[in-house]
Amino acid sequence: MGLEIIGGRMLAPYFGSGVWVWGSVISVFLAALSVGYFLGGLMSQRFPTGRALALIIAAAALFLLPVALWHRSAGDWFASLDLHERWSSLLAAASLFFIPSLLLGMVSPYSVRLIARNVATVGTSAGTLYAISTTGSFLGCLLTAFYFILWMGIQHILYLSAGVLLLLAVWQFCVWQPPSSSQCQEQCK
Amino acid sequence: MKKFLLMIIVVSFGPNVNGSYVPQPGAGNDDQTEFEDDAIDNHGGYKVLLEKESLYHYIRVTESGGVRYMQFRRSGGEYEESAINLAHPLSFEMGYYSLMMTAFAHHPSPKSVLFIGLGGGTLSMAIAHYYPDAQIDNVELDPDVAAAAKEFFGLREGPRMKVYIRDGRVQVRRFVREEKKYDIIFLDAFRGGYIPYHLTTKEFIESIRTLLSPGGIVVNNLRPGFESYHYHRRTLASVFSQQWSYGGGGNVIVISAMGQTPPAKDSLLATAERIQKEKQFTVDLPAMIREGGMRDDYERDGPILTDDYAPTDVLRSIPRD
Repeated sequence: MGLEIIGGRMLAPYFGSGVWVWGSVISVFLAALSVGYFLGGLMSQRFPTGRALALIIAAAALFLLPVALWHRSAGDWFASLDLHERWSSLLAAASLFFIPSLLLGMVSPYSVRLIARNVATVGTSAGTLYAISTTGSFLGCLLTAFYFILWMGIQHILYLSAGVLLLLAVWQFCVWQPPSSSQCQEQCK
Repeated sequence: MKKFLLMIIVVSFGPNVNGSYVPQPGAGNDDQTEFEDDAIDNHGGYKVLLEKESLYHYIRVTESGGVRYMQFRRSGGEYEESAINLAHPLSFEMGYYSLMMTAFAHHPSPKSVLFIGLGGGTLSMAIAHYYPDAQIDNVELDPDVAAAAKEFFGLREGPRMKVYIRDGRVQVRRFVREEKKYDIIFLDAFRGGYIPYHLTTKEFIESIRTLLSPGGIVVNNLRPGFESYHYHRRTLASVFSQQWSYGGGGNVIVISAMGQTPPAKDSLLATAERIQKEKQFTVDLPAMIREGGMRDDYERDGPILTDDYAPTDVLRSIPRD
């Protein structure tokens, strides 16, 4: 969500701040999340490990770096194509935000798979995860709109997001253990 | 996303179209002079001619005492964007129009003029009257604003008066590519109280500079009294070597130009007096020139606005004394 808030601001210098720009940003995020949810579900079946999830989060963080570095050139290039603003802003939004938000979309179903222990409690697990994930979106949205945009430039907001994601990935890779797994409890002893 | 939602909320919970809405007095800020009204009805010579939710604004066109007003609603306040006196369209009803005429002391015989932000088109039409041979291009984001200007303010498009319906930044890119040049560029795009941030940044002001013909000037309508004012001034100063300002109080008009040696105040005054005599402006140009100048009326130290960092909407809400 934080990315979404600055997304519109990143595109405005090239495509204006018309409804198309906001429409493009929001629809690209939604499309990417849909694909991400689906792929995340599939992959969690094949590689149900916390480390695979960590790699996905790390990849999302890494994909934010080219966005931070080259969003200006990308905007410039798409604007120079001379398409209708509607299509050029949609293409630019897709090229900048599709991959990182797809990767972030994979996280939720993956986490459900990792946390759920049996069918009886899977609803609780999924509910908790949705609550956490949406609270994160809420904070990202609010903090970005209310504070980050005043405190720092767009580029630094992107670096900050990438940094936080990377820390999460490292934590997930090195520290996190699946809960109440009997195997783990034995190993951990 | 939030901006988008806000727009929907503003539009759907806005005033009743059937006219039962009564604005809360004192709500909102007095940008572009807040409109004061007691009730929306057809009594007391006060009429609502248009009330419309456009893509970007809640537009109202009202008429009172022979003057038509265009207002945008934002945060519970009505921001008056334009006004025109139907019988005397050249006698300006809003103070900042008069101040913007100071541009002609700096550039007394423009051949081409560009407006970013059309509103009712009052000033465009006045300039077309005083300079019938000048090419006047107007850029307006909101098609409904342009339609209202034509229907209620008497704007007529023609070969010398063009309206481009497009975002200012996007259209300026096109003009730069087409290598268009303008003698005077007026930057007057407001969205109910503040200037959209992508029309304030150093990068945008630089592309405006490339549109200037030699000796061309840029005219900004700014609102002092807010933190954002000083950012705008510093950003202009980072691109242009000369800056004059006129007026105070609600609106300050800033004129920016390139060049090493700025014209002396005496020569500006002489031009003002000559052009005043020639054009018979309804405003007192020499008096305004005498009062303004290269004043030290902003904080020179501090950050500027760039595409990367431009929290104008936030800064606009920080009042200054």
